Amino acid sequence: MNCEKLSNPSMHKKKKLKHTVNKAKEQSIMENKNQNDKSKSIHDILPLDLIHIILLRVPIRHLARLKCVSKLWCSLISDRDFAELHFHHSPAATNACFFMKNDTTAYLVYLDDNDASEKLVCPPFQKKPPSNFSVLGSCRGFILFHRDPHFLVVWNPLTGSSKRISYSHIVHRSSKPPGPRIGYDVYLHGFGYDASQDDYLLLVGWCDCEGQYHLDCFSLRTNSWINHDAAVPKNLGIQLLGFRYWHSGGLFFNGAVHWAPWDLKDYRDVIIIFDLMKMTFSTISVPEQLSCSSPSLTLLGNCLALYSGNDDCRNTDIWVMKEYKVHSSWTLYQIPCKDFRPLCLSSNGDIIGRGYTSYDKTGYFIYNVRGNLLKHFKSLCCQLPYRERNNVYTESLLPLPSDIKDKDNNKKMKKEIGIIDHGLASCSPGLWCSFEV
Amino acid sequence: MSGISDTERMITLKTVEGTLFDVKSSIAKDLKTVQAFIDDSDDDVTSPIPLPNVFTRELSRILDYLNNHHRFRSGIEKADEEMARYDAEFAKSMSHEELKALILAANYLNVKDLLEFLNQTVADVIQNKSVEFVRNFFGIENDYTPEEEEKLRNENEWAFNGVEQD
Repeated sequence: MNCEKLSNPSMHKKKKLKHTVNKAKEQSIMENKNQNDKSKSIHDILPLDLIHIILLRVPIRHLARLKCVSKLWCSLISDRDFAELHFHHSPAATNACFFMKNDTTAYLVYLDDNDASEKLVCPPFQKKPPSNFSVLGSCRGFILFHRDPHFLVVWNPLTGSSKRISYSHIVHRSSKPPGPRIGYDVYLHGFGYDASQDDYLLLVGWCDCEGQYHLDCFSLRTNSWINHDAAVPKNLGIQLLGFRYWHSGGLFFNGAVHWAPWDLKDYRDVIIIFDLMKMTFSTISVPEQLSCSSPSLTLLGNCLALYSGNDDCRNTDIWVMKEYKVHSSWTLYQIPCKDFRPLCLSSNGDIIGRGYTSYDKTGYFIYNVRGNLLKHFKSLCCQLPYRERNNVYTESLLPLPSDIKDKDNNKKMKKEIGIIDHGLASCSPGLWCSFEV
Repeated sequence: MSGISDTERMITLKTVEGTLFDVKSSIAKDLKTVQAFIDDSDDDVTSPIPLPNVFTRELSRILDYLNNHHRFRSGIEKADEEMARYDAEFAKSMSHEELKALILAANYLNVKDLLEFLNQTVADVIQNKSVEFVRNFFGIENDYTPEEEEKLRNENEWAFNGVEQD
């Protein structure tokens, strides 16, 4: 077993942040130097560029509240560029675990070295949704829900902005599996971001009644469906085309959506990847020693990771791909805990996750990379639903493309699908937030 | 200059109150504003450099910080732990007013590492505090009408849970 430490990406971000804000600093230096000599009282207000730098270091979840400090702060925090800068460069931890408590409420749980703190948030459903829904994935602070029978909902819990997309046109044409089956398993879903177009993409892979596989992609920027059947691999063998057999939802990482199959044995032990810029499929092979045939895919410390229970059911194996797409970099970490679901890394590179204590109570555990238990704290009232995957997401204040342009159309559409607009934030004309209850 | 320099050059700095500080040139390098002044001067700087925006208390603290950090870095082992401990004590020893004054001074003198540390300290202080606390801390006036503020708070109601009491 390897005892090499896992690195927490926020440490790298600290260095990046230094570099990025230098320009702002230079300017402020010159301004200060040229300032006339005035007697400085200790009540002097800090210049705006310093406040900007300080706010970049405040975790996102606290920033919403700080909008109330003043109109200037509100516009600073609501600014799109600030959101981008914060998302990419802030050393403040931004990972939150997202749990649906019931149909109308959810928790954001923040885990760090000492504790789990939680905030209650309300998903963008006006009333109790009439049908099943589940969390499929996340990307840049947005969570993707699936609602039966054929809706996808994208939602940022911190800004409240959301969008609902229907794929009913696909449902009518796709083949139905025999027997009772939960709707979304029939389709391959994916959610990701194309940096070259500054666009969020929703993927739906499906099979028609003639047995042909299709891939459709919805662009949030153009608000339209694009067909990518050409990308579906024909010569990679029938195994890769079994869309319905891949864990729906996928994991967005490094510009591509990643899926692990229900059963590795049927799929030649691979993780399938769809690159959103190149629009092509490729694969990564899993470690040969992986004992379980249906591991779960997640991200730990900005690396792909597969985890599953060990054969003896007492341990959990976590395989971390330390270098992306380098097969030899798969590294095993064993956690002596049954059904351990790794969620994120602490600032020390220790693994925080959920597991089972005695009497079937769930709790949070922190293990170091050698498998030593460092800490255990009591769980909250949320129970991890059976189907839930990928419930750790990176928070952001980023807006949807539709929030910036075409404000009026959006308002109208929201009214149509029953999402109430609580009004515009009084500060920034370009960005608006709505919060549903 | 030849490689033999037993005594390091000393730079003299003068604060607002007129207090003089003798600073090693290796330390002065971290005060980028001062260093720029020295670099810009054609001749060797012999007379004290005036710092019209910096008070004695702040300069003293800044030099203290820099001296200690230089000392830690030149030591061999356990520098990180000692530095972290020193930094924590350093941050704790100041009131919020002193912290703000120090940031302004460090900003003016362009002391990068210290400024980053102070910015992070302030971010840590304010992150879980109430809006009123933050306004007081930064000396900011509330320019929202009560109605506007009410609306904004309602929109972000969930964010106000779990905030520390002042």
